[in-house]
Amino acid sequence: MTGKDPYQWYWKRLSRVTVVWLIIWLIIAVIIEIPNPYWFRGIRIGSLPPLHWYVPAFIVIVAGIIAIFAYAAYMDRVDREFLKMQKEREV
Amino acid sequence: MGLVSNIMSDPKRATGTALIVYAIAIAGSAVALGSYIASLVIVVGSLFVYFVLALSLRRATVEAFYVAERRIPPVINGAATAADWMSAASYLSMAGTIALLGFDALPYIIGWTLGYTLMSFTVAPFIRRSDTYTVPEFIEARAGHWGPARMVAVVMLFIMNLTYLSAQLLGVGVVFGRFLGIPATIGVFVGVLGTVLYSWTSGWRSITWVQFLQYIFLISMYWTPVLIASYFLGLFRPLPHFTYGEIVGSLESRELAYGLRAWTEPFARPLAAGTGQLNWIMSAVLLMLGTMGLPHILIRYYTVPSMRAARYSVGWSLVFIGLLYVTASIYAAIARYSFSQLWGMRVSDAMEVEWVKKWLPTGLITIRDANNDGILQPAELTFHGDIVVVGMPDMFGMIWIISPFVAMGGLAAAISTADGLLLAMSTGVTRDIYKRFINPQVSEKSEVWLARIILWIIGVIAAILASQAVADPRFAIYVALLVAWAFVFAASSLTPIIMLGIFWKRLNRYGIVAGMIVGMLTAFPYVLLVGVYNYPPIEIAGQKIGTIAWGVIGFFANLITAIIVSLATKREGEEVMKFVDKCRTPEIR
Repeated sequence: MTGKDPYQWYWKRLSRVTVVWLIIWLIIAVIIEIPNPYWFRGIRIGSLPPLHWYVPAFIVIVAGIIAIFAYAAYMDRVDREFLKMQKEREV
Repeated sequence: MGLVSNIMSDPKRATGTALIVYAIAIAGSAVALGSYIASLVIVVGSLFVYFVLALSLRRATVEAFYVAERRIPPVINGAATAADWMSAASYLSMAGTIALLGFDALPYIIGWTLGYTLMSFTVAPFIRRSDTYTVPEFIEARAGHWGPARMVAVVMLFIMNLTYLSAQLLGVGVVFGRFLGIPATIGVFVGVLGTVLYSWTSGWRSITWVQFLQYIFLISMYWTPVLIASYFLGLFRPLPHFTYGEIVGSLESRELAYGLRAWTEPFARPLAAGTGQLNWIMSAVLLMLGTMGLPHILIRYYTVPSMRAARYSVGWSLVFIGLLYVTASIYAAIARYSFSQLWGMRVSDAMEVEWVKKWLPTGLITIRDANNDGILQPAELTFHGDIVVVGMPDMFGMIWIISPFVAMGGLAAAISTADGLLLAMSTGVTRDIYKRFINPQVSEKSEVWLARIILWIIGVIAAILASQAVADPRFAIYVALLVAWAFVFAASSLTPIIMLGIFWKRLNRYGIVAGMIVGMLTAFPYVLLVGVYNYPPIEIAGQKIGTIAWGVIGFFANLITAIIVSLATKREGEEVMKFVDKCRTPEIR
């Protein structure tokens, strides 16, 4: 790993992670909402409201929360690696 | 005196003592003075608890005033952000809007939540890492310390925040008027007094902890009536969030039996003058994009210790916000279900139902036997959205003490948001204008005092605007709409610039200013013509694009202009490149 510029490396990883999470966000915030009122209409699971209602009223919010914590946890790993590279460079 | 100063020197002890005094006062007044005085004590006494907490945190440093010394733990900051975010509109009106519009109101639910997901990986950690104090300061630093960029950003901030603040104070007026029978104008000024006092003591340092306490109050008061109602309806298995489909089902059967369109039917009712799925999705996306450009929210992520803490804090913010937002549709379903139970009753019997009798004089529900058949038809019963949350305790015959506690939660929601808005504006005047352009040598002490004076001035201006709204109901309608439009303006002005500023080094000062101005010029006239002067909205593929959805066009107009102008002019120097590199990478620990 030594020899690489840690900043360049970090930026490359960060851009890739950002694109991946942008796609995740697009799926839960936009893409799923397109077929939702048609595909899931009238589908009932147990005592839940109709699925096409429950997706925007509950499911995507929980998905949105999970996505944030997953990003934070993933970036912790990237940060650790970056700091290690920095230290190695200093040595 | 020694005892008081001893208690006040420790925020935990001070708050604990204030809470005990508050509880004793409620119990004492309820027993000795009756329900009206006890209701007053519950609502007004909460202001006393916040004030004691704020006072115990007093400090007169710039670092405390602007960024709470950057020491707030992510979870606490998350709860404070949730209180900062959830306004009187979220607490008092959103469930009502869902009850009225059904599926077509759900853009508010996803739009006001999933913006945080986008913000968590595109904005929040990076602006925290910038180590600036305000959003306009960040934009100026990104524009190579070019003053005009900061000035334009401050103007945008004021357009958004002042209207938003007036709406919060109006919310305070409504709470006082409706629950306590005190004139709403007095309520507005009490609201200003409360708001300014908490921020006065030490700016963000004091209001962060006050907002944290306000969050605890507002969420517990929001959940209490809905849980009790769910218990009566047999939905407590284990939580109504997983069982309210049962009442939605029986509501829909009743609606179909009366030949009505089902409440959950998509695209059946217009949203902000627009119709159809395109409008639905664009409105939701706009609210998300707007969330990321609201300075009083972004500033909350300046107050955590690090970039990493900012990432987690956004997650906690959405957890705490989600607790209210996933509950709003249950409120809506239960209220609509309760109304549907009145259909088919004899009109005279319906008017004798206890809660109907109580709320009819307020005008929040109306019963009119249009066809004179003596039977209540669905169209003959109309309701105002605001009754859904505030009227729920009465719909289920709950003990009187629940209602004033719900009002206290509404007051906490309005004041906590008003605090954030007010402080973001006063910072805009002191740090972004006075210290930057007029007197850069100002001492720390004078800067804090100036900020305190500005708090009062802006507070009074907003109160005057809000009392206008109280006096003129037509103006009040515009104020409510302006809150949604604040998101349109945020998404069209600040959001694209902040995102590009972090992820695209080629963005330069001219692109920043041109983007913000073009974005606003795209958004503002449409909102004015369609929203205020009732011009017909633009149609795309047969679907009307409402004023909220139009903000997406403003966002892209800003983005594209910023890119084209930046490419056509020279790039920023080395200093800006270093600033961007710093924003993108974590602190070396």
